[in-house]
Amino acid sequence: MNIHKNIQLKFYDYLTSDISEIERVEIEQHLSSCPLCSQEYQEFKTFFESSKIYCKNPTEELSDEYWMNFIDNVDNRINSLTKYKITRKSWLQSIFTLFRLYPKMSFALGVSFLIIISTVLILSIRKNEPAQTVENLPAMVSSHVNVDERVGQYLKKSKVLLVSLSNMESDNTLTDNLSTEQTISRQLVNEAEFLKMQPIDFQAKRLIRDLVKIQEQLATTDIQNSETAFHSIRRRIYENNLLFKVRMAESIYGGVKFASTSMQRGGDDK
Amino acid sequence: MNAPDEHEIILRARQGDHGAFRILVERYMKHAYNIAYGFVNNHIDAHDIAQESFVKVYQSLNGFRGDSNFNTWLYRIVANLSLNRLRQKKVNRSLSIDTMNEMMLPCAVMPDDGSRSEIRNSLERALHELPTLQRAVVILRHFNGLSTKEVSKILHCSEGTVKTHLHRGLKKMKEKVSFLKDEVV
Repeated sequence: MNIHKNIQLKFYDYLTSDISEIERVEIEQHLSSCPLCSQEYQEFKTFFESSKIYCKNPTEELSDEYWMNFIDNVDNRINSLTKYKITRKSWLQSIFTLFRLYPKMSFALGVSFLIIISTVLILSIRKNEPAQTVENLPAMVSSHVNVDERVGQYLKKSKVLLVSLSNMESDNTLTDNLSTEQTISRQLVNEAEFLKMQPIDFQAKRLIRDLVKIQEQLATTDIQNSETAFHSIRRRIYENNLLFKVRMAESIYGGVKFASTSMQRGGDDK
Repeated sequence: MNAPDEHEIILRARQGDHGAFRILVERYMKHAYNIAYGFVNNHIDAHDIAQESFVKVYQSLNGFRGDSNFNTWLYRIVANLSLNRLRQKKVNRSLSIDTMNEMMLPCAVMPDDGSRSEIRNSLERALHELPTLQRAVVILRHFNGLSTKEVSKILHCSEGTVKTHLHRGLKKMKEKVSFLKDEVV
């Protein structure tokens, strides 16, 4: 650092005597040999003294009463803060006191409060749930539609089987190969087992039961070696008027309920 | 009252002795006020800052570890609050110049003759035109008589920095109020 600047930085401490003896001697020696720093020192000293004279202490301009009030004002500020804290504390304390003095009533109040809160929570959660399970509805309908379709398919196949059996010449019975009809009969019996378990009309179930009797007989009997068994099947078809019933049911069953009146009439025809 | 006594007073105040706290307020209120006034240059804010400083001291007295002197800790609070107030005023700019002049009122409290109050106003203006740190050093060291060490602790800077800022600050003020050279007898 420049020697002059270094000396000038120490002017304040020199003026306030806040300096070591070595530094004091150093400054005095420099000032005696350096006219620039000496002049700078004189100006600095003048300003130092005059600024202290003119800038009086502002507290000296205030009365003793002011300072007494100052202490009281600080007290008031602190008290207002303390009161605020006490108010918060007393609010909590009053709740605890209430619990201590009236435990039953407080318990009842607490339980009621919890019930109200939980009810509100449950209601709000339910509100947020999607309205009914709309997404599941098509699946249910489709499964129901599938059952109806399967009933329709069953009736259609059964009709074909009954027609083929009805149209078969009795003379050719023993020569014709009925293995296809028997295979289909077994399949239809299995399908009927499934349909019996489904929620379908009573009339439809009764028709399926009648058809199953014929299909089981056809599937299990060695028709090619037993002409009487074949005639028995055909007779049952005619006697029960099954072809008519199946046609009627088939015309209606396609996802719609079974026509009980038609079936009833068909049953009456018997 | 010597240092051990002050330590005892602080201990009593920490234990909730309100009388002990009043002694601390009484002892340091003028210093606190002077420092605040040096920064804000008006009695209203100086009064408010000085009181707020003591409230803060009361609130955080339990956290005072005694690493530094009590007065250094208090003056640091005063200086911080004063600087915050000045920043707020800078942002708000709500006071007009006329109002500011009215509030710079030492002469209103104690009447002076014209030239004295003019010089005083010039000095105050020169002081408040200094950069913040220079002004703080001049206020604490020159106008409030704190030692270089105390000022360095309050402003969290080295003693060398305090000396440099003090010299530069006073030099700038001297240049701005050059007519003082002729006034002094």
